[in-house]
Amino acid sequence: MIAGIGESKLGKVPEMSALGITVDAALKAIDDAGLQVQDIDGLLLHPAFHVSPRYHIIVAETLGLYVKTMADTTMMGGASYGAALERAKFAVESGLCRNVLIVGGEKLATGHVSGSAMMASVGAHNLDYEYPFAATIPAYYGLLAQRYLHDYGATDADLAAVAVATRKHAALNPGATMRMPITVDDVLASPVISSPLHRLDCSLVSDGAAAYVVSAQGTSKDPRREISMLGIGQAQSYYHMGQLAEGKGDHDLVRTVVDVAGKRAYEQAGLGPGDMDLANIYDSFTITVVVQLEDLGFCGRGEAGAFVTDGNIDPGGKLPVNTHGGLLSNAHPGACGGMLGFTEAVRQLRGEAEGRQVADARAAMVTSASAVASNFSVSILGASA
Amino acid sequence: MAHITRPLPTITQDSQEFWASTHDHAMKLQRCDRCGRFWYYPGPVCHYCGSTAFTWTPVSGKGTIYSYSLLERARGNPFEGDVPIAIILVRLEEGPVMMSNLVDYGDGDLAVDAAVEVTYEDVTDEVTLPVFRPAAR
Repeated sequence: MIAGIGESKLGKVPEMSALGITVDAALKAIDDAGLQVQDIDGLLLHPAFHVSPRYHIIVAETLGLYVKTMADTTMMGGASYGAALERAKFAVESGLCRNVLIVGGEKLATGHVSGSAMMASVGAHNLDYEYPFAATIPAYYGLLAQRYLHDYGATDADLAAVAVATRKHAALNPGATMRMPITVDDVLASPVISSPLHRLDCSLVSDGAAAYVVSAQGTSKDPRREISMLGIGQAQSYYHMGQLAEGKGDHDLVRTVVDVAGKRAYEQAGLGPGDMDLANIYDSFTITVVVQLEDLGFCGRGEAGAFVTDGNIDPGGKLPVNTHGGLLSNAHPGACGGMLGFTEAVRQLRGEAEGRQVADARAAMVTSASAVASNFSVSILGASA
Repeated sequence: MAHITRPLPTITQDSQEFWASTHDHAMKLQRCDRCGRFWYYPGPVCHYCGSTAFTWTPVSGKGTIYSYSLLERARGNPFEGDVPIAIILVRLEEGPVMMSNLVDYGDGDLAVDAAVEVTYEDVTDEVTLPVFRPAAR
């Protein structure tokens, strides 16, 4: 179960280092779990843009954790922190660890990483057969989006509807970076980054850190605040976009393998799409949400645009999506940005989401994705009984 | 053709035949000796059947656009000043899908299913990239 969560200040944090915000989020999560730092005996982290391949050890060292029985990385970009949750669950269930700290922090907005686009490319782009053709991350998602529009006769307004709905949620979150309401016309009037994606179809670039502590069920001081991991699934497909496009079986560029991860999570939880009270769906771009809504069974193939336009993912809708404002409007501190979907789901399931609380939230899905809709993690979290 | 500042690939034992073929302006891909399929990108084993026996085989250079994106902003990248750049996924006649660019194109050419043919951009003495232009009508 998830015993505690923490977040650093999000947005622009020029006064603190990446290590500083990371440790800040970690300490908050440990405190929220009712634990002391020395109770932590496992640590998982994605080093992302940090130069040292031992960055996870450095973070543990900074916290004063001399002996751990698990300290490792999950090098899966945006999907890392969903994958880490499953690893942590296995660790506490098997007795390998008592309390696992999962933490990540990046400074994409005011950090010292020079040429962040280039750094991002090291992991997200293939450098031999794709980057020479000027493929940036928005270009990859543009290729995905264009093919989606072609296959289903959808329009860029269908994608824009996701940005509009997400902003409605952000308006209810005092901590969100972008809170001013927007319309579909605003999205379509914003500059094209890589067609058909406009600036407002793209996630923010932020500083921020987040953390959660995973412990065995029933071990915390306040069981009412324990959040159950009802089901978790991962699925990874390919890397090169041509290979994704060629596809295999039921899957291709537009029909992603997130359905495989979702099926595992649904089966473990004994729940289906209609049972989710909210879903925090990884929104690196609007198209990322669109394909996941379909592949996870929230709506039919090619129907995401109408599903979103009809208000289903709005505040008060059938399936509120990204109630914190997501990567599109809340904050996107790189690979750890997806953690904010988890911390928000925990707040919602504890009934601690204040002005944006989803009424009687009992079950929440959280997804994360990376490498252009090819690596996915799907978690279903549940409120304490 | 507009100049694009190209990040350069690393040429390895797996890819040297491919890059030699584009350098000669006559692209070859690996064709599996067992299942007969072409594969791209260059690699030591057939993606489809696992055979390590293959023959570098000339391809027609003809294909259709599977998807495209017109890159208009690319801050922080070496080609930031060279936008707009048309990025395409090309489904080759022989089967594989490769990422490339569409060059020397006009209105209506950048479209899904549009027919394209390979041309070559000599980037350095060593590296020539296969790019595509609208197929001759």
